[in-house]
Amino acid sequence: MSWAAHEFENYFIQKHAGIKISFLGLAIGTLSPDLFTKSFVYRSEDPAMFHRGWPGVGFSHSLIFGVALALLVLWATRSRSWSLGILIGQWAHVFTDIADTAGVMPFFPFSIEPVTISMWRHAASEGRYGDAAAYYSSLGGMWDLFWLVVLVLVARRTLSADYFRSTIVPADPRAWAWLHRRTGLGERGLLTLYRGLCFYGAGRMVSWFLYARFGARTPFQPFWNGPSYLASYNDLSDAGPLEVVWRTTLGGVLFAGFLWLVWRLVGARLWRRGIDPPSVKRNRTFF
Amino acid sequence: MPDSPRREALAWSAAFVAYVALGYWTKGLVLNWIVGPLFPLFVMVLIPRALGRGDSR
Repeated sequence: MSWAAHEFENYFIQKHAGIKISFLGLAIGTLSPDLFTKSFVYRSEDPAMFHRGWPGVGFSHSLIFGVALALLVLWATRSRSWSLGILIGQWAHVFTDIADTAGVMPFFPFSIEPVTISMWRHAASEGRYGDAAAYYSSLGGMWDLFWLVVLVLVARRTLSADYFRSTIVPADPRAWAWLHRRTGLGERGLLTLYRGLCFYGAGRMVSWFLYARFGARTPFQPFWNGPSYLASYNDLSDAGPLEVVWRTTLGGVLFAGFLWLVWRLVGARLWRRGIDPPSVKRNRTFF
Repeated sequence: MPDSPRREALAWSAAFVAYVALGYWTKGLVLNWIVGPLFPLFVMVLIPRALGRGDSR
Protein backbone atom coordinates (compact mmCIF):
# COMPACT_ATOMS: atom_id res chain seq x y z
CA MET A 1 0.00 0.00 0.00
CA SER A 2 1.02 3.58 -0.41
CA TRP A 3 0.63 5.98 2.47
CA ALA A 4 0.79 9.32 0.67
CA ALA A 5 1.35 8.70 -3.05
CA HIS A 6 -2.39 8.23 -3.56
CA GLU A 7 -3.00 11.79 -2.37
CA PHE A 8 -0.30 13.38 -4.56
CA GLU A 9 -1.31 11.46 -7.69
CA ASN A 10 -4.70 13.18 -7.70
CA TYR A 11 -3.21 16.58 -8.54
CA PHE A 12 -1.03 15.10 -11.26
CA ILE A 13 -4.01 13.34 -12.86
CA GLN A 14 -6.15 16.46 -12.52
CA LYS A 15 -3.52 18.51 -14.34
CA HIS A 16 -3.73 16.18 -17.33
CA ALA A 17 -7.49 15.65 -17.34
CA GLY A 18 -8.24 19.30 -16.62
CA ILE A 19 -11.83 20.41 -16.63
CA LYS A 20 -13.13 17.02 -17.82
CA ILE A 21 -13.11 15.28 -14.43
CA SER A 22 -14.23 16.24 -10.93
CA PHE A 23 -11.44 16.56 -8.37
CA LEU A 24 -13.81 15.53 -5.57
CA GLY A 25 -14.78 12.44 -7.56
CA LEU A 26 -11.12 11.71 -8.21
CA ALA A 27 -10.28 12.03 -4.50
CA ILE A 28 -13.11 9.73 -3.45
CA GLY A 29 -12.14 7.25 -6.16
CA THR A 30 -8.55 7.23 -4.92
CA LEU A 31 -9.63 6.67 -1.34
CA SER A 32 -12.34 4.12 -2.19
CA PRO A 33 -10.32 0.86 -2.14
CA ASP A 34 -9.28 1.42 1.49
CA LEU A 35 -12.15 3.60 2.66
CA PHE A 36 -14.19 1.01 4.53
CA THR A 37 -11.76 -1.88 4.64
CA LYS A 38 -8.50 -0.57 6.06
CA SER A 39 -9.55 -0.47 9.71
CA PHE A 40 -10.49 -4.17 9.53
CA VAL A 41 -7.21 -5.14 7.88
CA TYR A 42 -5.16 -4.71 11.06
CA ARG A 43 -7.61 -6.79 13.08
CA SER A 44 -7.70 -9.75 10.73
CA GLU A 45 -5.74 -12.96 11.22
CA ASP A 46 -4.02 -12.69 7.85
CA PRO A 47 -3.90 -8.96 7.05
CA ALA A 48 -2.25 -9.24 3.63
CA MET A 49 -4.69 -11.90 2.44
CA PHE A 50 -7.69 -10.05 3.85
CA HIS A 51 -6.56 -6.72 2.36
CA ARG A 52 -5.59 -7.84 -1.14
CA GLY A 53 -6.59 -11.45 -1.65
CA TRP A 54 -9.60 -13.62 -2.19
CA PRO A 55 -11.33 -14.64 0.03
CA GLY A 56 -11.02 -11.21 1.60
CA VAL A 57 -11.71 -7.64 0.53
CA GLY A 58 -9.06 -7.70 -2.20
CA PHE A 59 -11.78 -7.09 -4.78
CA SER A 60 -11.77 -3.44 -3.66
CA HIS A 61 -8.33 -3.25 -5.31
CA SER A 62 -9.56 -4.57 -8.66
CA LEU A 63 -10.41 -2.63 -11.82
CA ILE A 64 -13.94 -4.00 -11.87
CA PHE A 65 -14.62 -2.36 -8.51
CA GLY A 66 -13.84 1.04 -10.05
CA VAL A 67 -16.08 0.29 -13.02
CA ALA A 68 -18.96 -0.71 -10.72
CA LEU A 69 -18.55 2.43 -8.59
CA ALA A 70 -18.32 4.69 -11.64
CA LEU A 71 -21.43 3.18 -13.23
CA LEU A 72 -23.33 3.44 -9.97
CA VAL A 73 -22.41 7.11 -9.62
CA LEU A 74 -23.26 7.80 -13.28
CA TRP A 75 -26.64 6.15 -12.81
CA ALA A 76 -27.41 7.95 -9.53
CA THR A 77 -26.07 11.44 -10.30
CA ARG A 78 -25.83 11.51 -14.13
CA SER A 79 -22.56 13.37 -13.61
CA ARG A 80 -19.97 12.36 -16.19
CA SER A 81 -17.15 14.25 -14.48
CA TRP A 82 -17.80 12.49 -11.14
CA SER A 83 -18.10 9.11 -12.79
CA LEU A 84 -14.83 9.53 -14.71
CA GLY A 85 -13.10 10.96 -11.64
CA ILE A 86 -14.05 7.97 -9.51
CA LEU A 87 -13.01 5.50 -12.20
CA ILE A 88 -9.62 7.08 -12.83
CA GLY A 89 -8.94 7.64 -9.11
CA GLN A 90 -9.76 4.06 -8.19
CA TRP A 91 -7.71 2.65 -11.08
CA ALA A 92 -4.73 4.85 -10.10
CA HIS A 93 -4.91 3.39 -6.59
CA VAL A 94 -4.98 -0.17 -7.97
CA PHE A 95 -1.96 0.38 -10.23
CA THR A 96 0.01 2.07 -7.45
CA ASP A 97 -0.55 -0.83 -5.04
CA ILE A 98 1.01 -3.27 -7.51
CA ALA A 99 4.31 -2.07 -6.05
CA ASP A 100 4.12 -3.89 -2.70
CA THR A 101 4.64 -7.62 -2.13
CA ALA A 102 0.96 -8.47 -1.56
CA GLY A 103 0.07 -6.90 -4.92
CA VAL A 104 -3.46 -6.56 -6.27
CA MET A 105 -5.87 -8.66 -8.31
CA PRO A 106 -6.50 -6.16 -11.15
CA PHE A 107 -8.67 -8.52 -13.18
CA PHE A 108 -10.74 -10.04 -10.39
CA PRO A 109 -12.93 -12.13 -10.68
CA PHE A 110 -11.47 -13.35 -13.99
CA SER A 111 -8.10 -13.86 -12.34
CA ILE A 112 -7.40 -13.98 -8.62
CA GLU A 113 -3.67 -14.09 -9.25
CA PRO A 114 -2.00 -11.21 -7.37
CA VAL A 115 0.13 -8.98 -9.57
CA THR A 116 3.13 -7.41 -7.88
CA ILE A 117 6.54 -5.95 -8.64
CA SER A 118 7.58 -6.47 -4.97
CA MET A 119 9.19 -3.07 -4.60
CA TRP A 120 8.53 -3.03 -0.85
CA ARG A 121 7.00 -5.46 1.67
CA HIS A 122 3.35 -5.34 2.62
CA ALA A 123 3.61 -4.99 6.39
CA ALA A 124 0.04 -4.79 7.73
CA SER A 125 0.80 -7.89 9.82
CA GLU A 126 3.00 -5.60 11.98
CA GLY A 127 -0.04 -3.59 13.10
CA ARG A 128 -0.77 -0.01 12.07
CA TYR A 129 2.31 1.60 13.63
CA GLY A 130 4.61 -1.23 12.61
CA ASP A 131 3.20 -1.02 9.09
CA ALA A 132 3.91 2.71 8.93
CA ALA A 133 7.43 2.26 10.30
CA ALA A 134 8.18 -0.53 7.80
CA TYR A 135 6.77 1.45 4.89
CA TYR A 136 8.88 4.51 5.71
CA SER A 137 11.94 2.29 6.12
CA SER A 138 11.52 0.88 2.61
CA LEU A 139 11.26 2.11 -0.96
CA GLY A 140 7.60 2.88 -0.17
CA GLY A 141 8.64 6.10 1.52
CA MET A 142 10.79 6.94 -1.50
CA TRP A 143 7.79 6.29 -3.73
CA ASP A 144 5.78 8.88 -1.77
CA LEU A 145 8.67 11.33 -2.03
CA PHE A 146 8.88 10.71 -5.78
CA TRP A 147 5.22 11.65 -6.22
CA LEU A 148 5.63 14.75 -4.05
CA VAL A 149 8.56 15.83 -6.25
CA VAL A 150 6.51 15.12 -9.39
CA LEU A 151 3.70 17.21 -7.97
CA VAL A 152 6.02 20.12 -7.16
CA LEU A 153 7.89 19.98 -10.48
CA VAL A 154 5.09 19.17 -12.89
CA ALA A 155 1.74 19.92 -11.32
CA ARG A 156 2.27 22.64 -8.70
CA ARG A 157 0.06 24.99 -10.71
CA THR A 158 -2.91 22.81 -9.76
CA LEU A 159 -2.56 24.11 -6.19
CA SER A 160 -2.94 27.76 -7.18
CA ALA A 161 -6.05 29.85 -6.59
CA ASP A 162 -6.23 30.61 -10.33
CA TYR A 163 -6.31 26.92 -11.22
CA PHE A 164 -8.95 26.29 -8.57
CA ARG A 165 -11.07 29.10 -10.06
CA SER A 166 -10.53 28.24 -13.73
CA THR A 167 -10.56 24.42 -13.65
CA ILE A 168 -11.53 22.75 -10.38
CA VAL A 169 -14.78 24.67 -9.78
CA PRO A 170 -15.96 24.76 -13.43
CA ALA A 171 -15.34 20.98 -13.65
CA ASP A 172 -17.75 20.43 -10.78
CA PRO A 173 -19.80 23.58 -10.12
CA ARG A 174 -22.74 21.81 -8.48
CA ALA A 175 -20.65 20.11 -5.78
CA TRP A 176 -18.61 23.20 -4.91
CA ALA A 177 -21.75 25.36 -4.85
CA TRP A 178 -23.39 22.80 -2.56
CA LEU A 179 -20.37 22.85 -0.25
CA HIS A 180 -20.47 26.66 -0.24
CA ARG A 181 -24.18 26.69 0.67
CA ARG A 182 -23.97 23.96 3.31
CA THR A 183 -20.82 25.11 5.07
CA GLY A 184 -20.87 28.85 4.46
CA LEU A 185 -17.27 28.64 3.28
CA GLY A 186 -16.07 31.32 0.89
CA GLU A 187 -13.52 30.87 -1.86
CA ARG A 188 -10.60 30.84 0.56
CA GLY A 189 -12.20 28.13 2.66
CA LEU A 190 -13.03 25.98 -0.35
CA LEU A 191 -9.52 26.47 -1.74
CA THR A 192 -8.08 25.39 1.61
CA LEU A 193 -10.30 22.32 1.52
CA TYR A 194 -9.11 21.53 -2.02
CA ARG A 195 -5.46 21.83 -1.00
CA GLY A 196 -6.12 19.76 2.11
CA LEU A 197 -5.47 16.42 0.44
CA CYS A 198 -1.97 17.47 -0.60
CA PHE A 199 -1.36 18.85 2.88
CA TYR A 200 -2.52 15.55 4.39
CA GLY A 201 -0.25 13.50 2.12
CA ALA A 202 2.82 15.60 2.88
CA GLY A 203 2.06 15.78 6.62
CA ARG A 204 1.44 12.08 6.84
CA MET A 205 4.64 11.31 4.97
CA VAL A 206 6.83 13.47 7.20
CA SER A 207 5.15 12.42 10.48
CA TRP A 208 5.39 8.69 9.83
CA PHE A 209 8.94 9.03 8.50
CA LEU A 210 9.96 10.79 11.72
CA TYR A 211 8.13 8.15 13.74
CA ALA A 212 10.02 5.37 11.91
CA ARG A 213 13.38 7.06 12.57
CA PHE A 214 12.93 8.38 16.11
CA GLY A 215 9.92 6.52 17.55
CA ALA A 216 10.04 2.95 16.25
CA ARG A 217 13.76 3.30 15.38
CA THR A 218 13.49 0.82 12.54
CA PRO A 219 16.50 0.48 10.22
CA PHE A 220 16.25 2.55 7.04
CA GLN A 221 16.46 0.00 4.20
CA PRO A 222 15.22 1.64 0.98
CA PHE A 223 16.18 -1.30 -1.23
CA TRP A 224 14.11 -3.45 -3.56
CA ASN A 225 11.95 -5.91 -1.59
CA GLY A 226 12.81 -4.22 1.71
CA PRO A 227 12.80 -3.63 4.53
CA SER A 228 14.72 -6.81 5.23
CA TYR A 229 14.24 -6.64 8.99
CA LEU A 230 10.67 -7.93 8.44
CA ALA A 231 10.46 -11.70 8.70
CA SER A 232 7.65 -12.15 6.17
CA TYR A 233 7.39 -11.14 2.52
CA ASN A 234 3.58 -11.38 2.59
CA ASP A 235 3.58 -12.51 -1.01
CA LEU A 236 0.11 -13.99 -1.57
CA SER A 237 1.04 -16.22 -4.46
CA ASP A 238 3.39 -19.15 -4.79
CA ALA A 239 3.03 -19.25 -8.58
CA GLY A 240 6.06 -18.88 -10.83
CA PRO A 241 6.51 -15.86 -13.12
CA LEU A 242 5.18 -17.63 -16.22
CA GLU A 243 2.09 -18.83 -14.40
CA VAL A 244 1.45 -15.28 -13.15
CA VAL A 245 1.85 -13.87 -16.67
CA TRP A 246 -0.43 -16.51 -18.19
CA ARG A 247 -3.20 -16.19 -15.58
CA THR A 248 -3.04 -12.40 -15.60
CA THR A 249 -3.10 -12.23 -19.40
CA LEU A 250 -6.10 -14.53 -19.53
CA GLY A 251 -7.81 -12.52 -16.79
CA GLY A 252 -7.03 -9.31 -18.66
CA VAL A 253 -8.52 -10.57 -21.91
CA LEU A 254 -11.66 -11.78 -20.15
CA PHE A 255 -11.91 -8.48 -18.28
CA ALA A 256 -11.59 -6.50 -21.53
CA GLY A 257 -14.39 -8.58 -23.04
CA PHE A 258 -16.53 -8.05 -19.95
CA LEU A 259 -15.85 -4.31 -20.07
CA TRP A 260 -16.93 -4.17 -23.73
CA LEU A 261 -20.13 -6.07 -22.89
CA VAL A 262 -20.95 -3.82 -19.93
CA TRP A 263 -20.34 -0.75 -22.09
CA ARG A 264 -22.65 -2.04 -24.84
CA LEU A 265 -25.40 -3.13 -22.46
CA VAL A 266 -25.34 -0.41 -19.78
CA GLY A 267 -22.42 2.01 -19.91
CA ALA A 268 -23.08 3.70 -23.27
CA ARG A 269 -26.73 4.34 -22.37
CA LEU A 270 -25.84 5.80 -18.98
CA TRP A 271 -23.09 7.92 -20.56
CA ARG A 272 -25.49 9.33 -23.18
CA ARG A 273 -28.04 10.37 -20.56
CA GLY A 274 -25.22 11.75 -18.37
CA ILE A 275 -24.65 15.47 -18.10
CA ASP A 276 -21.60 17.71 -18.18
CA PRO A 277 -21.08 21.08 -16.53
CA PRO A 278 -21.82 23.96 -18.96
CA SER A 279 -18.16 24.76 -19.60
CA VAL A 280 -17.17 21.19 -20.49
CA LYS A 281 -17.08 20.26 -24.15
CA ARG A 282 -16.22 16.64 -24.91
CA ASN A 283 -15.31 15.18 -28.27
CA ARG A 284 -16.32 11.66 -29.26
CA THR A 285 -14.02 10.10 -26.69
CA PHE A 286 -14.40 10.48 -22.92
CA PHE A 287 -12.09 13.48 -22.98
CA MET B 1 -6.90 34.87 7.14
CA PRO B 2 -3.58 35.74 5.55
CA ASP B 3 -3.87 38.59 3.06
CA SER B 4 -0.57 38.34 1.17
CA PRO B 5 1.25 35.45 -0.51
CA ARG B 6 4.02 35.69 2.08
CA ARG B 7 1.64 35.55 5.03
CA GLU B 8 -0.30 32.79 3.35
CA ALA B 9 2.87 30.73 2.87
CA LEU B 10 3.75 31.38 6.51
CA ALA B 11 0.30 30.24 7.65
CA TRP B 12 0.54 27.04 5.60
CA SER B 13 4.02 26.36 6.94
CA ALA B 14 2.89 26.89 10.54
CA ALA B 15 -0.13 24.63 10.01
CA PHE B 16 2.15 22.00 8.50
CA VAL B 17 4.61 22.07 11.39
CA ALA B 18 1.70 21.86 13.86
CA TYR B 19 0.21 18.92 11.97
CA VAL B 20 3.50 17.02 11.79
CA ALA B 21 4.13 17.59 15.49
CA LEU B 22 0.60 16.51 16.41
CA GLY B 23 0.88 13.58 14.03
CA TYR B 24 4.14 12.44 15.56
CA TRP B 25 2.72 12.48 19.08
CA THR B 26 -0.85 11.33 18.52
CA LYS B 27 -0.30 9.25 15.36
CA GLY B 28 -3.59 7.70 14.23
CA LEU B 29 -5.64 10.40 15.96
CA VAL B 30 -4.77 13.05 13.37
CA LEU B 31 -2.95 11.05 10.69
CA ASN B 32 -6.13 9.70 9.18
CA TRP B 33 -8.12 10.49 6.04
CA ILE B 34 -10.82 12.41 7.90
CA VAL B 35 -8.82 14.73 10.18
CA GLY B 36 -5.83 15.09 7.83
CA PRO B 37 -7.42 16.79 4.80
CA LEU B 38 -9.64 18.94 7.05
CA PHE B 39 -6.85 20.05 9.39
CA PRO B 40 -5.77 23.17 7.40
CA LEU B 41 -9.40 24.17 6.98
CA PHE B 42 -9.87 24.08 10.75
CA VAL B 43 -6.69 25.85 11.78
CA MET B 44 -6.55 28.39 8.95
CA VAL B 45 -10.19 29.19 8.30
CA LEU B 46 -12.73 27.88 10.78
CA ILE B 47 -10.94 28.59 14.06
CA PRO B 48 -9.89 32.13 13.04
CA ARG B 49 -13.44 32.74 11.83
CA ALA B 50 -14.88 31.50 15.13
CA LEU B 51 -12.51 33.84 16.94
CA GLY B 52 -13.70 36.69 14.74
CA ARG B 53 -10.37 37.12 12.95
CA GLY B 54 -11.23 35.71 9.56
CA ASP B 55 -13.57 36.69 6.79
CA SER B 56 -16.02 34.34 5.16
CA ARG B 57 -15.38 35.41 1.59
